[in-house]
Amino acid sequence: MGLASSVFAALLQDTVARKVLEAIAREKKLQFRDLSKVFQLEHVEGKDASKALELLKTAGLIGEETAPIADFHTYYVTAEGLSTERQLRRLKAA
Amino acid sequence: MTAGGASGVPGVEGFALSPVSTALLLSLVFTSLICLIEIPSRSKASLRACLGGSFVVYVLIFIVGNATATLLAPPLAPTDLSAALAGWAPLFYAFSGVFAFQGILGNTNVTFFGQGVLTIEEWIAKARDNAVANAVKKQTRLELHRAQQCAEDLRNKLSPADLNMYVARYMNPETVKKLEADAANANADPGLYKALWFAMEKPEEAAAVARRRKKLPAS
Repeated sequence: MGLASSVFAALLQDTVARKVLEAIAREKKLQFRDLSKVFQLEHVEGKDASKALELLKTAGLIGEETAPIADFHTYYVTAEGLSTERQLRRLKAA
Repeated sequence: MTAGGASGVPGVEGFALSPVSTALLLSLVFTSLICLIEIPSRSKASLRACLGGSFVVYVLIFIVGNATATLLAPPLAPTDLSAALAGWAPLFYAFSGVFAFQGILGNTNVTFFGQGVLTIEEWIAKARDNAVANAVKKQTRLELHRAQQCAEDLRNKLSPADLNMYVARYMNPETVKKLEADAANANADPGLYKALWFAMEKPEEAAAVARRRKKLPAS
């Protein structure tokens, strides 16, 4: 099943979500604390990344494994996420 | 053991494979090897995490493709080369079949009136994505489960001062302070935060420390 075009359009608009997806797809899995580091976000300002993670999770582009502390929650790329990231990369290159 | 005839390879008594069967067998071995290297390397996961249903589907797709390309190789092979290297023909067929599929057919998308009718590249990409994603998910679960168990062990076996000492030893003293600040920001127990961090960043060292130490007496 392909990704809904509305979600794809939302991803094209949302720079943070796109960058979060790119980072997770590149590394295959990332902890929340590493994501915060990648985006140079303080804990309080991590809201943007959290919102992006929610969007990606809802769209099924990433999965989440929870840990006892939120900083160690691990986000991993799904098959749909890999394919979407490839499409985004092609669009960027075109 | 007997020597196989001109048309076969050495085999068990009364059993010799034809060059085409040998080529197919070799192509199966090459395909399995390629998949066993490719999926762990793309997923950054262990071989154990990679093995599963979607990995088998991916291997099967490649086996079918590579076997077909291997069957097409003999008629296309140069006759002088086949005569000179008759004994090596199966290896040549398998090698050219596997690499023809990987290099040419595997990147083929034939469209007819704008509709993809032979989108081999897409099928392979989808099967590969599934195999890689499945491996990543399994690896994530495995690592997190191990880290949580190890962190729990460390907390049961190390005093807060000992835990700080190990974190400082394997990283540096500033790391302890930074982790304590991060734990405060996250409203988390600093001991658990440091133990989890240690178990995730240095899994082998943390596991070795947990193994070596005895459980602390209940206070």
